[in-house]
Amino acid sequence: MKLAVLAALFVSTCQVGPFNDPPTPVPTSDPGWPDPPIAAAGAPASGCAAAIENTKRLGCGFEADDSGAWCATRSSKEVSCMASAKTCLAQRKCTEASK
Amino acid sequence: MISVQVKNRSTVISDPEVAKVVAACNRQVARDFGPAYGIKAECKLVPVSTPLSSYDWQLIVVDDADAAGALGYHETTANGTPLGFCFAKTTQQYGGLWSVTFSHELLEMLCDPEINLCALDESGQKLYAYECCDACEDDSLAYDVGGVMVSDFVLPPFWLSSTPTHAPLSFTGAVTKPLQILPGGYLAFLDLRNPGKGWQQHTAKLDNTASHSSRYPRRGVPVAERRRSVTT
Repeated sequence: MKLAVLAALFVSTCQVGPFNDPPTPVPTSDPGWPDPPIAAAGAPASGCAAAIENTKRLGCGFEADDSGAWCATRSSKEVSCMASAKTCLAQRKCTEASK
Repeated sequence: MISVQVKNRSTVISDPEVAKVVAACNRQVARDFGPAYGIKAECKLVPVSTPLSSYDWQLIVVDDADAAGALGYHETTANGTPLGFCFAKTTQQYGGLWSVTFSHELLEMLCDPEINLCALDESGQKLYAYECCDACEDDSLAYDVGGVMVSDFVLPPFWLSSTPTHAPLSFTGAVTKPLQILPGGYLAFLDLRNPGKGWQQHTAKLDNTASHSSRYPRRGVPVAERRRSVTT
């Protein structure tokens, strides 16, 4: 039984191929993501709608069924921050900072 | 709602420490990971003697790796339920944060419970393992949740290699391109032009040092040959 386990682990290890692909460099500067919706000229959306739109654009996920109710729980400072955040982590901090 | 039972079998990490990490990871899943992936899950720390049903998912904190070069991994039990391991002492011996290993294994269990999901690259010639933390698994990319460092994870569009990118592709924003590997990370792939080579890895090493342990999946072992862990 133990031999079988060891054999399986050995196979697992042996199937790992050569590590000769070059690493992907970490960006050292802002890669130039498009501005979030709140900054778009002439955008008709309200601040809160822009915050929701930016959440979706970033791919962070927006789960509230009732966006109106969700907006009612957010301060204008939170909404503004969320609408202009450039990462999901930055957006999450928008609501943490005020608590 | 997925329920994950957590047991602490480690001698180097106390139950209160595990409870703090469990709470942080629950928050990470509820606020960060869950909405992005459409997954709801909750971990619960239970005494090691607690019996588990055949349907419970498990994440076990133990001291040492039972597989060379692993800080943690996930697999399935004989019943087919997902089971993850976090090797706390081994992680610490490599200078790593066990909370990041714990978070990593939890998120990857949720992403791909059966360890059988894959994504094709743009060329259609490489099949990438759907492991949502590997590309950004280095501790330097972790982020803080309530005083606990947890793993960064890629967002679903990371796997859409031919789709225009509108935003960063990991939660912290560190990953910026589809299928990008950050230093200290890796991606497992199957080259469809040469499938006989089995699962291989693209890596991005840190400081040209030898690759040390990773939080790797069990995909390299064919499903029929995988070790089946007993439910504990």
